[in-house]
Amino acid sequence: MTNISKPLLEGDLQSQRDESRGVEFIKSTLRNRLAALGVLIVGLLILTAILAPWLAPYAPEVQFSSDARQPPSLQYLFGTDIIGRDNFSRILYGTRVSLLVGVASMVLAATSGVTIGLVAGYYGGRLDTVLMRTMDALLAFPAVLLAIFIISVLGPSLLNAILAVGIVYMPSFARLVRASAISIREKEYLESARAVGLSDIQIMSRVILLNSLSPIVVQFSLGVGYAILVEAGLSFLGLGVQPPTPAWGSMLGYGRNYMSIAPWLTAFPGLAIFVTVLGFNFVGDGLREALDPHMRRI
Amino acid sequence: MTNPNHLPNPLSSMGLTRRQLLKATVGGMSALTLLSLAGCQPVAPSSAPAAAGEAPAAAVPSTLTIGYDLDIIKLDPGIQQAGVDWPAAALVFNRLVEYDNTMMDPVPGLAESWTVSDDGLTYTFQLRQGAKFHSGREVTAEDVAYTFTRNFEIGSQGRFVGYMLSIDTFEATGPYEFVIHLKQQDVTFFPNLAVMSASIVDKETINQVDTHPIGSGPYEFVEWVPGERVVYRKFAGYWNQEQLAQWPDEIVTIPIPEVQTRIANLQSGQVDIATSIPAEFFEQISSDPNLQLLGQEVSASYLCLIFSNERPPFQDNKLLRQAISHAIDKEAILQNVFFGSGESQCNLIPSNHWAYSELDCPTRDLDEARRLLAESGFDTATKITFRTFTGQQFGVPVAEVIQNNLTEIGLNVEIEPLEWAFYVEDAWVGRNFEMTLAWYGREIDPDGLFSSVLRKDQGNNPMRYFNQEVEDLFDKGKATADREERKKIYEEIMNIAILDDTALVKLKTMEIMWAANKKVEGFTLMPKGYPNFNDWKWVG
Amino acid sequence: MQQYILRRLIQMAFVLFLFSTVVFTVLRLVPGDPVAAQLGLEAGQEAYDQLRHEMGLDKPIYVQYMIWLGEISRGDFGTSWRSHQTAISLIQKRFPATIWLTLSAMTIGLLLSVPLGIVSGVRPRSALAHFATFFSLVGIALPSFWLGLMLLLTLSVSLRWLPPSGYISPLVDPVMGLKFLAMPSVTLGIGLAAPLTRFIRSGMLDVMNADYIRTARAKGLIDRLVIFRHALKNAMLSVVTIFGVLLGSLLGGSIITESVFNWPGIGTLLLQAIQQRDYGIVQGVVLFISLIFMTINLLVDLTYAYIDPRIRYQ
Repeated sequence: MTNISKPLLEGDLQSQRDESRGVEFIKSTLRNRLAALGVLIVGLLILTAILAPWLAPYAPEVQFSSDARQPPSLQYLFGTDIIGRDNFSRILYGTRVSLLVGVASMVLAATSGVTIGLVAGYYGGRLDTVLMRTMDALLAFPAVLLAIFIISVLGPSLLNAILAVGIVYMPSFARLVRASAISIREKEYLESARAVGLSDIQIMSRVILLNSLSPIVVQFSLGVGYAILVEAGLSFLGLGVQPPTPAWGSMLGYGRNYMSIAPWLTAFPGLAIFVTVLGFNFVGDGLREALDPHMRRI
Repeated sequence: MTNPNHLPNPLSSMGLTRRQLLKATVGGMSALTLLSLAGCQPVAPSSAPAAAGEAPAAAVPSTLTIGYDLDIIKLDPGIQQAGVDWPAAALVFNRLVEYDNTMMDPVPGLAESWTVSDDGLTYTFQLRQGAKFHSGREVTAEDVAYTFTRNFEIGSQGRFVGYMLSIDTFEATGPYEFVIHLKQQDVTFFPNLAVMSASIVDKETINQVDTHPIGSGPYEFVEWVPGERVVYRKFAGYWNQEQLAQWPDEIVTIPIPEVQTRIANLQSGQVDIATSIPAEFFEQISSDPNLQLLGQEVSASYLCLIFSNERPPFQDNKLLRQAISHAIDKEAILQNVFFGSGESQCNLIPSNHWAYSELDCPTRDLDEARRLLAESGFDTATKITFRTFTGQQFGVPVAEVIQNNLTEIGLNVEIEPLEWAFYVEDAWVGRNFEMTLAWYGREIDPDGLFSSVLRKDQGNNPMRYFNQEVEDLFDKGKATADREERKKIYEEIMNIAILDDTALVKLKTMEIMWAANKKVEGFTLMPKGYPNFNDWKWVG
Repeated sequence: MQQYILRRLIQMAFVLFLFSTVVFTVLRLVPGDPVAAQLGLEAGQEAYDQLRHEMGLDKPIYVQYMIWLGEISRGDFGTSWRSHQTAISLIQKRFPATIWLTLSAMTIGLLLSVPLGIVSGVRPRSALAHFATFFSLVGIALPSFWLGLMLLLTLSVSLRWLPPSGYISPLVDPVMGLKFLAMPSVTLGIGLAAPLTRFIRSGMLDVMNADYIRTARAKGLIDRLVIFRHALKNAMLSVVTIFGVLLGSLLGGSIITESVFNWPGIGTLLLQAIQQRDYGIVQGVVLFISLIFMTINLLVDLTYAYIDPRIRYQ
């Protein structure tokens, strides 16, 4: 997003030899358009989530039992489900749940993971070993299985889905931050920070965290998309957010028996998930290009 | 959904040091090394008898493949509880008598003939001579006596004892004669001798009954690969050669939990029979000229809403329960969730049953419901927790319809969906619920159909419903032989327990439907939804 | 060196022990137990109490734990209450299917992602690169069970090209084996290819801009040679890295694809065991998966040290 007028570095000259500058410019703008599109999608999703009650033609739980399984029409834009609820309204409200699951689980994963990574990386030694071995142990387990295990313990619900996805993602953040903490730990400016009399916590939060902020932000935005997918997968197994809360994942999971007779019940929530994950990925990619010095050089 | 956690996007590679990169590199290789170390090379079992899902070859041996929704739970017929274990018992073992298609008038099994004393208390069975266990040993009355003794020892962990409460004594009076004395007359006793838990087991191989059962049935047990398949092979020494000749050499059951996948397997010929077909697929299957639906849309099994009599708000509040029964839109449940399959009348006995009588069922009447609710004195601000189960596609939508109906009369209902194992332990056995969805599949005799549901302290009565009048009527019904008289007794019970007390609200009968291709002929499901493995033909 | 290995092994044993203790405890705290799964709805409280007693589940949890420790120390890693088969034998039966699926999904994933990734890394502004970006985003955003069910409904129900589910080792019956493998591994493979493509692309980009590549260019080596000698080699290293990481997770992690295609792998074994509260199997499989992971880790560390002598065993 920020490299529209980037300076051309010497290394790039050669690779761009055979491409005219005009084409190059258009393509680079295109790439940024993807990021812009991502921002647009995410923005619209947030707006939808907030404005759902005003946008939705019906309340998501109202059942028109005589209009069950109606295909899409002007009255019911996305059709109705098997017990006669308006699919369109449920998808609008579902935005809230999906965003909530995506964002809240990432907040959980990021805060816990970052804290663990910071402490492990900064102090090193035995503490580092214990913390990171624990994270490794969590990673040793396939994500979905781990989430299933956690939900088996806690029972399926919105909160537990968030918890499960959050715990599953915690190690990724921990490793990310630990890596930057270690690389920064020995740098001179840390010495000077200590000399100035900053406490460990101040150093960790001000110096190390600030320095690893950009990968965290990128990981976060990409993670939101993944989290929404994991929730959908859990719902497929009957372990996700539970009805009557309208959530895309469970709508998709419950609709799968009707794929041939009422395809709109899987098509629209599937599309919603698809667009959302895409949106967050566009944003994540855009952020990475903007924040990652390696990428910026291209 | 392939482990997003482990799908490192380019970004997370930034966090990987060179060491980590290399580490993971070697990891990929050493995983393989480790496998070979563990002796787990990717080699299938060399015997590989008809691998799961493999199309039955046109050449010998012929194989009937059944796609089940679940894997077997227990092989031991004395302990088996679930319908999925049925083939294991039905194929491998014989009973004294076997079910006919009505499940009411048993046909000869190991017992060739039998006589009943005039007082109806003594049954004398003449055993078939020459019937052999798969081990080659002849089945004698001693084995029958052993089976009965064993089953009484297993007690309430198995189902046998519950069926055989009327038995006083039993004994082998000769190598081929077996006598049972009853405590009192019991019309349900005789047909129940055909239940799978009454399977005659082989005393000498009893220690392997739970891993490699040996019986005298038409098929020998070959192997059970948990989660993959169970294989049965025709037993050449079976006593009924005529029937045996009509059947395929092998029967294989495969668990295919995903219903779409199960049906796809049927459509593409990978399996010949697919079990547990939900109503939403009926049309798709009946429109396929190569397939047939087997079973009943109206069966003795039913879905209902039950209330706890051990805790508020439903304890001692008949009016509140009645209000709910007037509020629920059973027709919407039937038409929408079950695609019009089944019947929603309130008698626990289905309309195609001889003991059925038309009752004055409560109709959906919101005004009446509101009136009853007001009269009940229930504080509508109090939240009612409604537990239901997941794992069955309908568990949640049915609860959602009911929740919606109850909201209409001003109740505040919260749905709590439970995973099946938790539901069984906590809601059912632990009786921890205010109101919950229940799915009863019981016997064909009207006593069996609902006595265990409505009688005191029965396993199927987690609501702890109790009414002395009903108890007395049940006793009377069980001791009455005349069907017309019995019918009246059960009508009376219904009027008290269902219409007045509203112990539970029956929502609908449950359809029990399987589907098969045209390689099987005459295959039927009996009223309880179990396959009749006796009267059918393999046409290949 | 030996000392280091010894210490790592002790550490490993400790972590395994800790891990399985947690699983042991958690399983017994989870609502729902094997008794409920075995007896079902119709048995009474009495039967429950009796069976719970027979299975030793009425004992205090620490007593059960001591018993379990005793079994572990005798090499008994658990037995299924349903089939009486041991966890080890069930894992042995399921593991080949998991390996087949993992390897073929990997192959498909690599066949798709390597060319796309390389081209889009080397020519980041070409049409193919944009396609690769698009492809990887689409692949990431598709829920795999949806993709799997769509394949199932089209390829096997409508077109009847492939059997909808089942497994036989391709070593036993190559034709059927591969037919069974096709849909699940394509489903998984597409899911893998998407992130792999991005990873390879950025790996290529990184290398293309690294100092030594520029040096090579400065020396006047032609573009193509530069790419293949230096860039590709180095980028592939990172590909194999991810290959390793993915392999580890796939071995138990393709559970949703496994359940759509009824694939008899480790993932569904564990899922079913959890659902049926088959404690012995859950514990056994958890131990197995973590043992594999940690062994890989150890071997990796050792190999790394062997390759790079600068690493010290601390």
